[in-house]
Amino acid sequence: MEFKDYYKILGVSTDADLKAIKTAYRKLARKYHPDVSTEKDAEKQFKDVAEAYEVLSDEKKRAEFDQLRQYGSAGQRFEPPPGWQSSNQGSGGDFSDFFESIFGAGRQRAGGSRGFEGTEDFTSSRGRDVDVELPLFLEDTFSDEARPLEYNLPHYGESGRLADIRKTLSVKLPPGVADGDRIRLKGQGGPGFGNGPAGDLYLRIRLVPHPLFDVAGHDLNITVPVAPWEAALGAKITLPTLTGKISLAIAPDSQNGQRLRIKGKGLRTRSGNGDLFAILKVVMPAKSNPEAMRLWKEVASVAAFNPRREWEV
Amino acid sequence: MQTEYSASLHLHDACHAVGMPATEFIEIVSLGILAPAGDTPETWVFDLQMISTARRALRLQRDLHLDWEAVALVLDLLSERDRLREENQQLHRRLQRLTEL
Repeated sequence: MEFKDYYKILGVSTDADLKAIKTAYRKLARKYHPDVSTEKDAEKQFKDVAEAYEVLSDEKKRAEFDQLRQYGSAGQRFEPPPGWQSSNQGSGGDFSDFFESIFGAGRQRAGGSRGFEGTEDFTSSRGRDVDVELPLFLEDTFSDEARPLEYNLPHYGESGRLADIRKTLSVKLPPGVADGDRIRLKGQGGPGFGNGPAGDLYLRIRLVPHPLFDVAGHDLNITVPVAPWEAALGAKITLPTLTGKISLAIAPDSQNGQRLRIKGKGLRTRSGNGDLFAILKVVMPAKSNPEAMRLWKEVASVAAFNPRREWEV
Repeated sequence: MQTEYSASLHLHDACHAVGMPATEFIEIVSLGILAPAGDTPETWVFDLQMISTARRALRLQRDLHLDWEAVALVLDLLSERDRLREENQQLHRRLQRLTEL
């Protein structure tokens, strides 16, 4: 495995005191915390920073790390020296192989994130809760069929090492799911430790952007290109919706940007459907033939229309 | 292969799901970070969005060494940022449809 230089990760010198280490950690934690950061690889960066802090802020761990640092440097392959045994206990975080090779594998944490271990004893604790993102096509939100879902489950093998196992589940979504919704599947998370129950699986719905329809809550927007004469004379056009084509009447003298509401053709909600809004966009032909040009001139002379009248004050 | 969902949790289960003692859960409710239905801790009901918010709050509190008031402020600002980002994306998409079709 690769050697991690915790001093480099925190950007502190090897003789930095605890205060300097704390300050460096806090600064980097704010920058890379996955709940706050927009940086690329924030999660991975934050993990490194948290791990570095875990070691350097603890006098005993830091002393052991300093000892080992003589054997490796950043980017190099690293093996702990033969017979190496830490006097520290893994403290139960989600740490790298490098960390675990020095300080031993952490024990599994109960419940959710960092720290709190619940009331169970160590030999029997509840499995981890797992968060999985579920990308969903807009069309799929209308389906009542169960869909297969594959996800990775963190699993502690006999050696206490963390490894992912692949799991498949058939999931029927409740009607009316929206972007960002969460669904909890009881007992489908990480397996329990000892006699502890399994954790839960949390699905987070992410609606995949559609080539035609934009989502706004449970409503949908579609941009409808129309010819200038369709806007002027009115027209009957065929409009795609998520559940099939419908016929849409465009009134005479319609405007560019005008929104037409088609009731009930939006996304499903728990009670009924959202609406579909057709937004008209007048499009000019790329090139008009001479006869069309002649007729445009005629329109220009009889329409008596000045689109820039507001400028003339 | 069951697909049993559950959309709401009481305080005890919520504490378990988040990994947070009840005393801290009660504190973040009193700060308005979470607004469960129900009048007393015994009758509180948390939905899944609240569970995810509570987890986020806990991570921020532990990892950034913040007190709960600061966590409340950060969460408010983050949700405002997320809302603006989403609105920006929507407007951007609409503008693209109008100018590039």
